[in-house]
Amino acid sequence: MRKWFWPLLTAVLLAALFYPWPGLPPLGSFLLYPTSPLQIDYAIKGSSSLPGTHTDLEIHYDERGVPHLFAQSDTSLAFGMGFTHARDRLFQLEMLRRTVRGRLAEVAGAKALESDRWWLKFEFEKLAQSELERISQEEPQLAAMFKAYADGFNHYLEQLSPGEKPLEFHLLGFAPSPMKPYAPLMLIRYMDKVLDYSENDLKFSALRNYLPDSLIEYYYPWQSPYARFPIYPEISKDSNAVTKGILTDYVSRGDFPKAEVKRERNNELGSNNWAVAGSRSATGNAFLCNDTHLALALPGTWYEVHQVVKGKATHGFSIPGSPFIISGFSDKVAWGMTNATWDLTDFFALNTNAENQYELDGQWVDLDQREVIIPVKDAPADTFHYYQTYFGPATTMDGELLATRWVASESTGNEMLAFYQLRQASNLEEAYQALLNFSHPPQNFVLADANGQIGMVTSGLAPIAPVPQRGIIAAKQSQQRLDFYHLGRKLKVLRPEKGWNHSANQTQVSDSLGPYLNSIFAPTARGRIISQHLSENPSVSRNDLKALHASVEDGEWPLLKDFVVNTAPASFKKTLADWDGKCTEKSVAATLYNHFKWLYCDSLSHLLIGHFDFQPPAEHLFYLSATQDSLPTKEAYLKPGELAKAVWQSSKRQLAKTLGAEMEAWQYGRYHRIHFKHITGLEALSYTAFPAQGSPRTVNVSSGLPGTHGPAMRSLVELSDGPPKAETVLAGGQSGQPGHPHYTDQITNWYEVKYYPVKWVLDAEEGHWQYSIHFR
Amino acid sequence: MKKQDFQFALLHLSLIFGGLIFESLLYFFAMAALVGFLPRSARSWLYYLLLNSLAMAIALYLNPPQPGLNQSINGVLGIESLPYWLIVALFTVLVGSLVSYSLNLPLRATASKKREFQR
Repeated sequence: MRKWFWPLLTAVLLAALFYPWPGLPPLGSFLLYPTSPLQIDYAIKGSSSLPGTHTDLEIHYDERGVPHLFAQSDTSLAFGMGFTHARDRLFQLEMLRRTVRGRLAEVAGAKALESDRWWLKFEFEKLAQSELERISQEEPQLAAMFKAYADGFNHYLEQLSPGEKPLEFHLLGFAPSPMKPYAPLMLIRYMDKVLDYSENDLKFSALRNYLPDSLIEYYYPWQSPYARFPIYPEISKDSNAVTKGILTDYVSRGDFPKAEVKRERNNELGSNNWAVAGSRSATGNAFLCNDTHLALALPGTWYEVHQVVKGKATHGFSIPGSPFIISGFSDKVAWGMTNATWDLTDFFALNTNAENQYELDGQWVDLDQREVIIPVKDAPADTFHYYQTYFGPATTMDGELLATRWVASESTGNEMLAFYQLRQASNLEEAYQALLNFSHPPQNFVLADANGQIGMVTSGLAPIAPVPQRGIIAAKQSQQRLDFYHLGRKLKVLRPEKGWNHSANQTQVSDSLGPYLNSIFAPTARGRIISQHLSENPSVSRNDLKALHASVEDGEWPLLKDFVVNTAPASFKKTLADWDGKCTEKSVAATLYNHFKWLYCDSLSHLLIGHFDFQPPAEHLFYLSATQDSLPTKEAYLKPGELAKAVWQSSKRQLAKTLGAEMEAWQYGRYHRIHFKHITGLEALSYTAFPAQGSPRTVNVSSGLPGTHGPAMRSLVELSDGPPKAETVLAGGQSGQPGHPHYTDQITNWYEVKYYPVKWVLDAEEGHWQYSIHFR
Repeated sequence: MKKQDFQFALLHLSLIFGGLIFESLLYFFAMAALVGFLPRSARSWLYYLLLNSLAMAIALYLNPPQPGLNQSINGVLGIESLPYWLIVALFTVLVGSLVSYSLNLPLRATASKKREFQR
């Protein structure tokens, strides 16, 4: 018996190591050295020579881990982009692809099923394949770049041993998958989901269960009087000439989504961009600034890159999954963006019969039922049914069969062509023409060129109805499905007379077009601060622009100051009255003001709609409260001043409870923190939350409590006859690998609004590199 | 120690080291098995443990654990006192030694029978 002891012990140990324990990473590969994460090689210093088909390509990484790609052709460049994205953002790209393909549950388990079902019904993988076929015919060079991008990605994957895959794969117990050439066309849909998918129409129909139409119109106006602060004042008509739209007749049977308190505190997305023409700048050159507000995640959305093809350079921020620079500059033109914030989703309630048919133009049409089997980790596979209809994919929500029509789910434009042509544009006009190819997610593009000219164009598709409408549409007629119109030729101002422009996600125009864009736009606070600074300064310098990026002045304070100070308890009055509106870490007034605002808005919303998760636009509520003596509710009128006084008392109690009894200790940095979370949510891979300045209403925005959204990058570009002088900073770092020296190395500078000078290198021999890759 | 024993120890060390650095569990187990089978004579448990420890130390010296990565994994595992690389080293040495020793046992049995026969 004794002779079997050791073999038995070995067998038991091996069985334990290789048994798939639920909730644990595969222990065998995680704990045995040859395949453990200890094999991960960060490779930040030195060089390597790899076999590869693109021998004209060199990739050199600088001290921030920014890759500088030198290639002799566009396809080699795309190959290099695929390679370097895989090298630094492999897990992020895997999760993005799985998300859009509806294959997340396969590795994340049943909790991801809802997401998978949502994505699968749009059939984005199939759509991307057909788009690639179309592009192969129309723009073969572009299609070749997509293929080369996927080849570069897969080339990196092939030379990766099991142990070298990023840590997250070890923890979750699966391997990265190869990329298909159509993936870049599929992945842009993820940004569509983040930026232009809206369920407001669903909520408007459910809102009628809570408020009469008159109050919906009052609290959710098509355009708030205070919001008439447009991006394009030059092409806006009389601000009083706002055409109203209609609320559809449809009333939901229940709440959508289910009525639960889900209001996130101060959590709003947004971005800033602005440009100053040479005629108004201190150097005589055009300046362009951009900061896009997205999730402060690890890794972040953006990946900085320098591309040189046959001596022609472009620098800027790419998104993993795309071979192109999305926000950036060449030596001739610069471009940056903010989200246009349009509602590009329509919902149709289908009238169905017992024979699985729906009504269309007075006839019954068969529902085209589709079935998908979704693999689920540690659980049986899920069978998902949905229908394809004339109005888009349909699923049952709250007992109603609703079809979703979304701009992103139809093949309509060629966003990548826009970025491809931007690289080659030599002046403002050519850059504008390039952007007319861009269809979604619609963006406010700011432009500048080396001749000192600037411009702004909002490029994208929008469904335009004969009369603007919101709410679920009871589908009957085929004409209810709207055509999409490209508004890039209408919404633009090139070479503005005032010599500067800006956008901060507010409405594009203050006229009848506004309601057609059908959106709840971002508050105007940031735009007001930017506009004020640029309009008051006839000779704008680089430092002025940096100061504007760093501004933590709350743009709503001038509107609310009297209301806030007058209603505040005596012990708060002086602190608030003396406050300059700046949300700095040390400010106590910033804590009082921001907590009061959030609580006031929440309380007023609760009085109006209870726990239903569709708060009226906060800026409009504050505008009404600051300017009206009384506000209507379903039962009676309420006095905003009295509500504010009650809210101040609650606010005082809450702050004392969370921050201590002494008001001196209520410094904003103790109340408001920023937390960079890893995309898996694992705290150990996240960046510890730290005290932070800024608010959702400051240019240097910090949204959420704790702050989880903010400027995902900042860039400042000056174009002249010579090389561009640019500075950038990324929220986080270049690498997506936890523990990598470039994983979080830019966070300190990012928070202090410091920048890194961009290395404008045209020849690889000129640079000082930390790590180089050659292909032989 | 006989010259032949020393030569075999070197061979074993090379095989174990090879099993570690080839970044494949198949190689790792194949090498561990080979070490157990070669030569056709019995070895003690301590012998395998020492060789595996030495090979592991060399591998870690040549490819030192990345501090940031170690810290992240320790955070995920919720272990502060024992670095992750040490846990991996211990498991790898233990498993490698056990596999070799267990596969060496039949040889040990054969060898003892042979000795009995010679007597």
